[in-house]
Amino acid sequence: MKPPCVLATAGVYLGMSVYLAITSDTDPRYEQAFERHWDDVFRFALAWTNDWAAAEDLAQDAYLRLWQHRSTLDWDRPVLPWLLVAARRLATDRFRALSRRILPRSADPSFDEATQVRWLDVRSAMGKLSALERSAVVLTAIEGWSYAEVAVALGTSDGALRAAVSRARVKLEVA
Amino acid sequence: MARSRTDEVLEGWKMVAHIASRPAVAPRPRTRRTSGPSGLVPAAAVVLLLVVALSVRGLGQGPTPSQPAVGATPSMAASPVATANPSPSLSPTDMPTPSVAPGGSSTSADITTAKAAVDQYSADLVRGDYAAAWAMLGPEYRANAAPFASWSSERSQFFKSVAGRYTVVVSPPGVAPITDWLSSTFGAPINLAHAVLVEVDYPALAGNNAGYNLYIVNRTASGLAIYVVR
Repeated sequence: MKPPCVLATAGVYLGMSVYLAITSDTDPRYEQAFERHWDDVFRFALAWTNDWAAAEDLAQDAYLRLWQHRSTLDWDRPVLPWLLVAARRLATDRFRALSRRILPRSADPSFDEATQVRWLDVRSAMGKLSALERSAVVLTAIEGWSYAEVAVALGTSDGALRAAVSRARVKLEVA
Repeated sequence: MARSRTDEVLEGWKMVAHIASRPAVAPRPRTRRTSGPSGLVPAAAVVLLLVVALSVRGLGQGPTPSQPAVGATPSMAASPVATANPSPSLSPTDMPTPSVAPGGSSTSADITTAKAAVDQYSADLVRGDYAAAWAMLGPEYRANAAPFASWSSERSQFFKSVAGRYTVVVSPPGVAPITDWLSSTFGAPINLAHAVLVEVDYPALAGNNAGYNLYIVNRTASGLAIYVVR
């Protein structure tokens, strides 16, 4: 075989190897984290952002972060707190730039009219709250998480969390 | 005992939020339009190109690129680069067709009128003329979005936060191409030859994920129609 052919073959092999390495996308730990926690991550993001599409983007990017860090992550520890902290940081630090780069969802949520009306009312009321207050009251009152768990996810203290829940309830009462 | 407003809101949130369904497939980086690992694809293509080009030159022994006999080889090598270079962040399957630019293949006249339309739409909302703004929306959007009363109520709340300040940007940079937003137009027949993607930024909400809106302005036989896509 002539040298050019050898080089060409090597080049093709190298290119294909790199491509296959990039596109190799199976990791059972990641799949399990996706199946177990997507709903929690989405609802956390929804509580934080008060925006359905933004929450979907945020949940998606939190998982992309997880995928990128899967080789260095300690999978023996619960992964949900990691995902939530990642989502919160993405939301607070650079969500705007991030959201620009993410594809829009394939379809809007298929709400019927009554649900759509109710969601608009809820979103309007929730809009009176800060992201911290909204997340605090949703996660403790609706999702049933412990204050300790929520404090970790929100990066705040137990006392500040309880104060946020209290403020949220007061605001919602007149929202 | 009467239910409190707080309980009502929280129950509503729970009811709606739990409708959400998990995507069928877990997110993968290669579906993103960003750099990162997918950026290695163009790198691999470049390596492939260099090696193949080198092999074609045969270390000075083979035919030169100008010779007709090797015409096919460079084109094969160039193919992946041509796919990757226009936008390294795009995976090959995500590439828009060449006939559709990110902001559509619209003319300067299309852009001018689209910008004016969105400016007018935004001004109506700032002014509180929701009926006028609603009338500018595409019929498919109006039929599928919330009823006018709910929509105007929600918009009025939002525009209180906007504080009357906004900026209109046509074909905004860093945003997915217009073809990627078509799924949010409720099946409206978007005329990509004239449609324009327009962003409205709200400085009062800068840094907030609600700090901007994206619209597709579609030109139809009966005039312009605006679709809120984000």
